[in-house]
Amino acid sequence: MEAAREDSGDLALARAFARRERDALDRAYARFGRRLLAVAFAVLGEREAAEDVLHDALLRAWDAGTYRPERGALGPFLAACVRNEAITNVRSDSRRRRRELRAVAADEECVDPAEALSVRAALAALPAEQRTALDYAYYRGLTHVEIARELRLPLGTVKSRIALAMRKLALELAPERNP
Amino acid sequence: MHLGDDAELYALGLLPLADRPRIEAHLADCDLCRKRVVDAEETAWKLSATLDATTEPRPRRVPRRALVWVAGLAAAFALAFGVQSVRLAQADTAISQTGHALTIVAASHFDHVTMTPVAGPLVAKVLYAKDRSWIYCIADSPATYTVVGLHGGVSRVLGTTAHDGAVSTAFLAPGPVEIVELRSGDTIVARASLR
Repeated sequence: MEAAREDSGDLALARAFARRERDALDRAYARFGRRLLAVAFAVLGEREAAEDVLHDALLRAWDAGTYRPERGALGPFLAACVRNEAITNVRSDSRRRRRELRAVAADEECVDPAEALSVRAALAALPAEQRTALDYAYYRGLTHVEIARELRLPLGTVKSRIALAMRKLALELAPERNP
Repeated sequence: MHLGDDAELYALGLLPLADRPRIEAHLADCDLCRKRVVDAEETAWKLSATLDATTEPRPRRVPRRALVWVAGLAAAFALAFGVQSVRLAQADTAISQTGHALTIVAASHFDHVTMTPVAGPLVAKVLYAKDRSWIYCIADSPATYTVVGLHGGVSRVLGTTAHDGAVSTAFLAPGPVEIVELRSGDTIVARASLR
């Protein structure tokens, strides 16, 4: 459902954002703000800091004009910008404690409950060691170096487990498998 | 050489800041790796569906950090009119301390860029004339920094910042320059590419 909505409704927004039209920033904010705030909050664990990062990241992405619709959908691009900005923020502020994150339980509010359900199912189907590596990387926001230290594993092993987990999830969640 | 597993790590924001320019340079030329990164970003987007999204963000507003450089620019204007507070950088590239500075800024086509912190938590911005007739660096720190410009791979010292209360600023005439760095001793603290 989410994908279909993106296909039909978001292409015009993506094009307007790429052209740096003035109202595109506000429209992107209205369209993706809640989910992007969750991404920033997941890394930072502080509401005010997450709001600041969200504002900065969107403004910077719009201002830089580097987004192109042919690259991919706007939402994932902005989410990567927000997550990068949030992680940079955490790394540059040693006083800020990294928050341990979690996926929300099934009865809590998600952006799209059906999508969340299929993502959880795909996560559950991953081999345990890959799921753990991704859990540390995505939900706890640790770098691969920190994960290697935490799990006492070689760096290359951690990198390949995270990458494999991401690729398996991509396959599992591909639209053709979830019509 | 392709990115390999770094593609997924990059999409998740897990690689060190120092690695990003190398990755981004490769992505500009490699369709294969760019697709892999975009695929991973889409997967990360799907993962974000499992996050708590109960709160609406407040209406968009001017980012707090923007206020830092606006305040700094105001300080530069005050300086341009001879109001005591900020000392201009002393290098021979520094713009002279006259009322021309405000006129220069007001008459310029200028842009600004947030500097990327390289070492430490510094928040800094560069305002710059598109013809490079001046740049104005402001760092959200009272420390003094050396401002270094890079052009064609060659670096040269443009001047130093001077502190004014909580911030440190420099108003300089850099000449041709593509990259501006703030350095503390030999350590690069922040860097920005000018368009």
